Amino acid sequence: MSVFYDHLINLEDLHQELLEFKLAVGEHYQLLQLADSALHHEVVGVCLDCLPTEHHEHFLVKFKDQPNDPGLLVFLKERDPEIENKIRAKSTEVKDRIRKDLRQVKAKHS
Amino acid sequence: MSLFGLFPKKENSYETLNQVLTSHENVAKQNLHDKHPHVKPLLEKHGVDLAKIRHQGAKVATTATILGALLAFPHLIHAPTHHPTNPNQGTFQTKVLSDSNTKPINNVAPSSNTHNQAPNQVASTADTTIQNSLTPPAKHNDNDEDDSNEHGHQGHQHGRSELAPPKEHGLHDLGYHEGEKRNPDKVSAPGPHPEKTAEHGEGES
Repeated sequence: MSVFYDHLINLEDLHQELLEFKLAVGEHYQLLQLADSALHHEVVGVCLDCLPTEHHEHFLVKFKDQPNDPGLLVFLKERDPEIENKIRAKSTEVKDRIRKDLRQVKAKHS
Repeated sequence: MSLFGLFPKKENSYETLNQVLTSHENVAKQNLHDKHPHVKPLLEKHGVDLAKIRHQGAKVATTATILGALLAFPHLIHAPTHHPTNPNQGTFQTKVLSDSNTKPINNVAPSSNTHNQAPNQVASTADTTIQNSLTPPAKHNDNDEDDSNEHGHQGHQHGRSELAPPKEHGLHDLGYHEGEKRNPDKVSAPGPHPEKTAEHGEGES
């Protein structure tokens, strides 16, 4: 199931990074889900930043019911035209942090 | 030799990676709740788990798809049909369902091989019970009716529920065979003892 900002965050590079550890499929996707969860929390924070507080509940409920609804991004863009760039920048920042730690673990165990 | 040394690298790397990524997740959660402290109660109120948002969305979409499909194609859940192979049963069930103006609970379409499906129907106790409250026990043949009227059995009988449809003709459990009435008068009295028969035969001769 995709979310409305999937095209702005790209999990493929983390997926490739984790593949190098040659983990079991279940372990691999469990770790990928943790990274995904970290990204969700950071990106939702960015989304809420651009919305007035009174709209936060409405946004969260809509996001829970239809996480892949493109209307959510339209709704956010009405409030902040730069929201896409902000989401992109935040996801890059989080992924860089994660990738850095993954490489440290890899160096430690190789 | 210890088995722990067989795959040390893989296990350790997974454990380490798990710890690293969990800490990243916790930091992200903390950042969100620090920046927007009112969000935590909102998430709890609406049961939103951002870590599983993909699964939650998938559940809603899947449920909607299945419900839509079942509404569009009711025959997928074996809704009552208008062409039962056993006319008596089908007509009766359809009539009861339409009279009670309720949604069909046990939507097993009546068929001529109902007797062969006994194990499946016994397994669905809840459905059978609910259906039984809507409809009287189905009559399968005259022998069954005579049997239940004579003894007025309720509940289980000879290890099988009366609610369950009978086997091939419903009398195997009772030790009877097809076409044989359960009538005590019909049982022939035991004959004379073989010795008496022999003595009688000798006396006559």
